[in-house]
Amino acid sequence: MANGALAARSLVDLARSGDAVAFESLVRSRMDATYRLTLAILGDGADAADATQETFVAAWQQLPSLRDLDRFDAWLQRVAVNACRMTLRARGRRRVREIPMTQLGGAEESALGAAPARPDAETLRSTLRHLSLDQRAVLALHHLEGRPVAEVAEILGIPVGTAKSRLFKARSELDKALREERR
Amino acid sequence: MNERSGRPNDAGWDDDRLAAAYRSLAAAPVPADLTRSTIAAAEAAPRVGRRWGWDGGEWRRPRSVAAGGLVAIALVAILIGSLALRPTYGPGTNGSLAPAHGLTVRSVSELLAAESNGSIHGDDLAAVRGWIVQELMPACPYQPPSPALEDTCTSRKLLMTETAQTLVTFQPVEAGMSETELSPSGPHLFARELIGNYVDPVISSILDAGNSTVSPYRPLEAILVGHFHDVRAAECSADQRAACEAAFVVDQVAWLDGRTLGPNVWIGGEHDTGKLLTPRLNGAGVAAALASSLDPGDEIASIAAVQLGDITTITGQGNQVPGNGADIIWYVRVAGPPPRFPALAWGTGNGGWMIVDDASGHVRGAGGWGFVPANSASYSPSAAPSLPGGLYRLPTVNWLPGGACAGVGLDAVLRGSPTDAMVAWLENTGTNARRDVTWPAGYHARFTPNIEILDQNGSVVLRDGDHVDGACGYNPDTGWTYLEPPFK
Repeated sequence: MANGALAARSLVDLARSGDAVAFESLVRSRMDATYRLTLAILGDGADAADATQETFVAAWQQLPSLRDLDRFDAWLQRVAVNACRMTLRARGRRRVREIPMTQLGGAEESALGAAPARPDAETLRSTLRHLSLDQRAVLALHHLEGRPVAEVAEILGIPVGTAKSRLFKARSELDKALREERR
Repeated sequence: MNERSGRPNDAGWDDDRLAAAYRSLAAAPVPADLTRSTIAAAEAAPRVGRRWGWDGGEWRRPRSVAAGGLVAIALVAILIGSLALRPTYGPGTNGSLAPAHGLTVRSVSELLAAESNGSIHGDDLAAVRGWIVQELMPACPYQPPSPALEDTCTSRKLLMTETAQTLVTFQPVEAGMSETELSPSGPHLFARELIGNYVDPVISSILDAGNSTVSPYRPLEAILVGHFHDVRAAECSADQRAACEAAFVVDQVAWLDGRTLGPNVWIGGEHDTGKLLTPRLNGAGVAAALASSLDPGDEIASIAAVQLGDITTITGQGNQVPGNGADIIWYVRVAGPPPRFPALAWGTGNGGWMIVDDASGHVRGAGGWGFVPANSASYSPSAAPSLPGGLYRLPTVNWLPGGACAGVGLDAVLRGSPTDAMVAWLENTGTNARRDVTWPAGYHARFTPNIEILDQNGSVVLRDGDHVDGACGYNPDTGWTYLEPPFK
């Protein structure tokens, strides 16, 4: 095992047993990556912040049950996906949502009839709403995080075959949504 | 490369374009304050109970393997190897263990009795032989940092019993396995680990190498070298002070389950992230850098790389050292006579520590061996010549000069007297007011007949009446000013 991995494992060890400093260190070192993943799944900054916070709170609560310390990062991503699921459900009950300034800008330009070519990121953000949470998660883990299908399956707790079919279906749905966006 | 197809689809987005879009989408910075609010939210959240025992054919990890509550996160360290510097303990011809460091190996009850009746002086090194017994790791509530030696739920404690005991057992039940934990019986102690002497990786390696059907809760015979009355006991709250003083702090895991272990080299983590430090030197390099400073009878017990800013978590809160907190230093525990350098007014202790700067490879400081630094609450000034050759002891700290100097403006001259408790002091040029001072490690004085200050190498650096217009710091608790060359 590499020294860096051993150090990370020790950090998780400490946090698992209740060490506040160790857990804070884990939060700080994983905050960027976790926010990035939740943002890629949810497509909304405020929702991603909520899900990120929920991820670490849940991680803190559930750390004593973590079996394999070497799989902490994969485990944390699974917790993040679950937090995104809960956030999406909560969003459905929310009446007012924060609208990103970039979306407001695009709407104004569209109102002027310019129909500008939006950056791919904005197109992707817009099309995500047509996909289920599970489809968004498998796409983000595979295309953003670069996780092989086998690792995606492990993170999501599903068989590899299921992960493959879910990834294929998700990509098909995304392509369909992208075509809709171009019209 | 993963299983991406890389082919464009009919929407015109191939995998690379999709990945780029994801990266762009997720490139937004983390909202300000999210980290702080997340930590606060976790702090307020209750924690679920533990789940331990047999699960899926794999033993859960016991407390000492997955324990927490170290002195600081920067002390999260890993065992990276052993140095063949000098053997410490090993099997004797009659099956016994040959002691080293000149220490008598005591049983647990003998060690506790020796501490109780004063046979072990102060924080002198002592060796104890017994059984390391595994406990279940408790599920602790979120706890803010506490003094290193205080006994909390997350404290890292190593249970050593006089006799072999298995405290954790499992019984099959309908839903799987049920655990039972007993209290230790007979003489026992809860040892605390000092940086460079963590037993977890060693135990892990033993357990990982063994049969997974053998319980990791089996007792492991061990010899520990350590000390009572650790300097950090002073940081404990009043109600825990006595317990902290009586804590046995491990300087070296000398022998464990048939293996001679010391001295070991540990690499600590960065203070903020826990990321493994990347020092320039290795253990052998550190030993070589120290060789000319140590007494020929010295033995290195352990070596650990940490950041300078974290040194007070090892040597005590009052032992701050000037310099860049991110700098890597080597903390080396030594058993044997006081070192030859720096020439401090050592006491009668049988062990101590040395600090080597990783960047320069030079000795940066030292402590232990009964030396009482001037910034310690227990320091008492004395003008008695305590060094050979009529040299006078000055109130010095643990650190050699050379660190970053905060800078305190002065307009004073050096004065001194062989009958004054402080030996040397500064006199304000305008008011003639006296200002007491402390000096770097190794500094001392002589009178020829007026005072001269000599540095750690014996060179005269100040004489009576010399002007001093700058210092490195001021201690409001003692009213003493810390001086370092060039005294400007």
